[in-house]
Amino acid sequence: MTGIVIALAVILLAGIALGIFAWLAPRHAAPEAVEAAPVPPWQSTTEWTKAAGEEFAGLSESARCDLIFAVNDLRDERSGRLLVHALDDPSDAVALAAAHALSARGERASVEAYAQQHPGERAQRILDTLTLLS
Amino acid sequence: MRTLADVFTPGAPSLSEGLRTLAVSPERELEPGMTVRASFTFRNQGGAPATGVRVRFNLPEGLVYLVGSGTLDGGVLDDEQGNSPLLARAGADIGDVQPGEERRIDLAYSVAGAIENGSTVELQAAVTAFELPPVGSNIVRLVARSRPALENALTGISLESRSHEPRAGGEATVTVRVHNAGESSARDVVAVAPVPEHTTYVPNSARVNGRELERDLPAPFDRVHAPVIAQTLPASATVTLQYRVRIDEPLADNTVVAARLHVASQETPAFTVEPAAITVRARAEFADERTAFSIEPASDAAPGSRVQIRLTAYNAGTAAAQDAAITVTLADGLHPVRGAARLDGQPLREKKNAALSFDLGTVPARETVELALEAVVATPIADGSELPVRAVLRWNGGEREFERTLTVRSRPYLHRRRNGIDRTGPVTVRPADEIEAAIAIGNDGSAAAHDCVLQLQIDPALDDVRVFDKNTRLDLTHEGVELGTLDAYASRKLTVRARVRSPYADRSEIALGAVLHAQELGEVPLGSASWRVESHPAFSSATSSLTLVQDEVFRPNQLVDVHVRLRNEGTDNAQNVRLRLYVSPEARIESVDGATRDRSTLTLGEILAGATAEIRLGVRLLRSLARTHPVAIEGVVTADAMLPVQLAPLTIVTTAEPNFAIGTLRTVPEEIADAGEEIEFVLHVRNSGDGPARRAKLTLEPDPLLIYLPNSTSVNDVPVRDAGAQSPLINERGLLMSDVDPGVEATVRWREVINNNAPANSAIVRRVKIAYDGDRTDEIAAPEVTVRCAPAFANTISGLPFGLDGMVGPSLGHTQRALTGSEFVELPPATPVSRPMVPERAMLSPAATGNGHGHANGTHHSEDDGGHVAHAVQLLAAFDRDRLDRTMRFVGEARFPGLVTHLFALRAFFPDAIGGVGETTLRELRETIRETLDRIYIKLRVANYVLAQRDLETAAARSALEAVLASLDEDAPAGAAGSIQLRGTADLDELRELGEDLSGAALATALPWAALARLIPGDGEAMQHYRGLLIEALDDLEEADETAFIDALQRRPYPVLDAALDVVRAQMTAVRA
Repeated sequence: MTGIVIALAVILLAGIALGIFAWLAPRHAAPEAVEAAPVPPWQSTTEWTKAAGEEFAGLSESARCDLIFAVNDLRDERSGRLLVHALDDPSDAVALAAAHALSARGERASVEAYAQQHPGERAQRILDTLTLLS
Repeated sequence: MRTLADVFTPGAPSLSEGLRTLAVSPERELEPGMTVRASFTFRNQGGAPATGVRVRFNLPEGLVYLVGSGTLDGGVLDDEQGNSPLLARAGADIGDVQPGEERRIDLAYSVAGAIENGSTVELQAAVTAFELPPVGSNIVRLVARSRPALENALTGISLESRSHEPRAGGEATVTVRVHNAGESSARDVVAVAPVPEHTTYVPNSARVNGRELERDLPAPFDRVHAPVIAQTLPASATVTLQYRVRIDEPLADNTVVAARLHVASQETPAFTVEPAAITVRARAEFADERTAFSIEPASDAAPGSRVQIRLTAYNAGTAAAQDAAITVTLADGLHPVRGAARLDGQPLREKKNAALSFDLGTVPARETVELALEAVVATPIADGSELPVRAVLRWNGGEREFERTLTVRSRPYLHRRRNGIDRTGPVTVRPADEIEAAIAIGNDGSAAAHDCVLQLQIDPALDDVRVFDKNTRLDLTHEGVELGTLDAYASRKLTVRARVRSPYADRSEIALGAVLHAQELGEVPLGSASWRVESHPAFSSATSSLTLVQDEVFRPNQLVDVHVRLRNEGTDNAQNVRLRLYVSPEARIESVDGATRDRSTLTLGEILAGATAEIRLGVRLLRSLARTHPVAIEGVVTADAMLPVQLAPLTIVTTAEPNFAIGTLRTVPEEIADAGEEIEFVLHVRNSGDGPARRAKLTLEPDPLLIYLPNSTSVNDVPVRDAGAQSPLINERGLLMSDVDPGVEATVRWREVINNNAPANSAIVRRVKIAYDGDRTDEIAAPEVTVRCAPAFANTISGLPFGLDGMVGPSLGHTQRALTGSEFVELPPATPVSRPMVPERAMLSPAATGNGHGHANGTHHSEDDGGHVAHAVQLLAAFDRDRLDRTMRFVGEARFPGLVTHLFALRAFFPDAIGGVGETTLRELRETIRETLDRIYIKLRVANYVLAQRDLETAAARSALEAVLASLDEDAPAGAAGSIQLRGTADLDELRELGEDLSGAALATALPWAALARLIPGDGEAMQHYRGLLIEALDDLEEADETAFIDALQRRPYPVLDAALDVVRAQMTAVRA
């Protein structure tokens, strides 16, 4: 009998301890809804050519394609940034060349990230063509 | 603790003297411009080095650092701008000074140009280090020695007239300048500059450096003998004393006014300065406004009026004017009035000569002389004439000219008494008469009247207006006559002639007015002349008449148009015009157009003079008109204020005659009658003429086919006696009718029987001739009757009293008319049918792959299609479903004009394994081709892009291809993953030969692509076909240069090849499905 009482007392104390712990234990804060940052409107620009050198400003559409292909052969970090900037080129062909170059460098994720930042028909068209050429 | 920057600051106590090593030269006194040299030496007396040692010198006031003189142990310390750090707040950093080491600083100053005498200059140097506070040197005190210098070239006195030329009564300015050219200030500078003789001090005008002086003086300036003009005059400074004086007046000419000056100060003894002087001129003067010349009136002087000329001469000078005289000169348009000249109000003696020169004698200073005279303006004279009046005032030593201009206001004047228009001739005129009026124009003014225009006010009743100047006809334009300029006191007489308009109303008043326009006078009415018109209307049979509209002979009952024309030949309008008509009883007026009819009177109302009234009468001739009885119409014209006028009678010639031309002759039966049948002829004849027929004879020619039925002739159902056995119509005498009035109609009937002997189809034509009034003949024909014969067995004929054997049967009817021609049906032109051009080979049905599940049977090879291949290289391309989808999409989308489409097909179907070719080598070629074609694919998206040679092939690509071709052999290719496989073979020898050719071929030509085309696995009939066509197309371009190859790639169409590719694509898509 005494053993049972002791066991019950132990159980009671354990329950109280669990209750106190449950009362005082730190709780996870409710995750706050993270509002997605507004997607900035896409603005085409050919200013990216200046990053390759002032002498490269004002190139024609096909010349910008050639610049993309030449830069792609460099395979350095600076050229990679240049290719990403070239995705904003107003010419679909130039942007596609940049996307193709990035994809060839194994940086297709950059293209997809760009497409997420600037969703729309243009980005989808670039991705579809990349898939076609893969 | 004081820092080095704190020492030597203004107001700060001197630094204690810790080092007595500052040596200065000179030692005691200095003078302006002198160089002071300082030398400061110090030694590190301690046992440790002094670090960060800095040395500074003070720069006392009055000393200037000599650039480049600051040295450290002989080395210059100045910076680039010449500043010495020794004089800077932080001093000069000279680095470390080791124990026992000695340093020497040298510096030189220059004494300023101006330094006060007795002032003290203290020099001290200081040195400090990181470890040591500033230590001052001994202080060297120098005393400045200097003095002022007032007697120099800049010290002086000047006397200047305030006016251009010194003159008596004028002002002059005395300027005293005392300049201290010494090095120190001058104290209590005294200037003795008394007011010059012949002048008077202008009170309170004394200024020292622009500041009033008298307030500091105990008495007015001119009463203080030696005023102190500057308590202290610093070196190089100047004090200026200035005051004004008035030159005495009057004063003798060439009087010299001299200003003198004595200067002294505490340091400078008195000295005399060179005096200044001016020479004063005194003379007579008539230049101011009090000397005036005037004329009155100054403007708008009328011709003939008097002009007052006045010259007032006031000697405003300081000396008397000797031998003064006035000479007046008048213009031509001014005449002096003799005896009217007055000098100071007193008449002058009249001179016979007209010279207007007047002696005035001596005119003392500030005295006035007035000369007045008169002149008369001449006439005539042009308006606006400017008459100058000149006067010259002369005196001993000068003269002055005066001029005034008198403007003349002169005007022309047309007096009513001498300007007007008068009638010439009687007051009563008739239309078309000529009238005449005289116009008189006279200018009584003193000026000419310009741009004169005579404006006539011409009555509308006047025509042909002419203006004459004597016998010269003037040009009359818009009722105006330009007369030009009418000189002063000139006159003109003009004659106006005109003709009274005709016609014109009686008792009308005619006026001819005239107005003269002149530039100066404006409009000047000249009055008017008037006439009275006497006028009447008039008609005559010559111009007023009754006429027939149609000149022909008229018939009874005919409406005759009569034209009535009434012309008013008079000169006045005809009022209440009436035309009374007298018409023959055989006619009557039925209509009147142009007038109001009252029975036989036509009322026309008013007919203007010269106007013509037109009336159209409709006159109906009566039926009872005799054959040639003329109808007459007479007319009488009446109107107010005129006598009746009889018009010429109008005779209308008439005629009336019978006419039997209209009539009908019909038969019963009509058209066809059987032989032996009775025909009744009915003649309707009518006198359709307008006159009766006295005698009308109707005759009929006998017809052998007809037999008259006796007693069958009747006229208006009245039987007519036969002439023998014949009808009276057939008789020569004929059937006579008399007095057949117009409109009377007669019906003549007779019957005849057709002779049964008449041949079938004989035509019976009966014509009745009607002769009437002896000379006219008409004919009336009956419609043709065709004889129809029929068999006849009877021997009797109705109406015939006897029998007759022999009958002729009727003829048969007509036959059916056959068609004369056949109808021609023209078909429309055939429409060309366009059929799409189907490539012959593209029509081949796509063959499925061998196993039917997309797995090609490798036992059939493309080269087998062309025959046996001795050495073949095996090709394999494998696709999974996704890759096949992408490949088909790529083939579908990579469609461009030209052969370039099929380069993309090479990319699509490039084998994954080739016999003998290593995986790495093949992958390198594949990647090279893909990269090249991907770039082309991208660049072709640029609008109007033209491929370049560098786009097509690179040296690396060529090397990769050559490597592949070099390693080909007949071994089986390695396996490739993919559920759909394309297998094929290529001619190994041919490829090797191509590989050898590649080494010498230019880049960007068709040869490498031709080799690549052979690497396509030609699995299946469609693929084999396409492969063959592609190889053939590229082989054709093998000899083409780069430009031609690019042209084929982008411009040349390949429809058959495109279709073959479509078939391949369709087949592959089917396989995938």
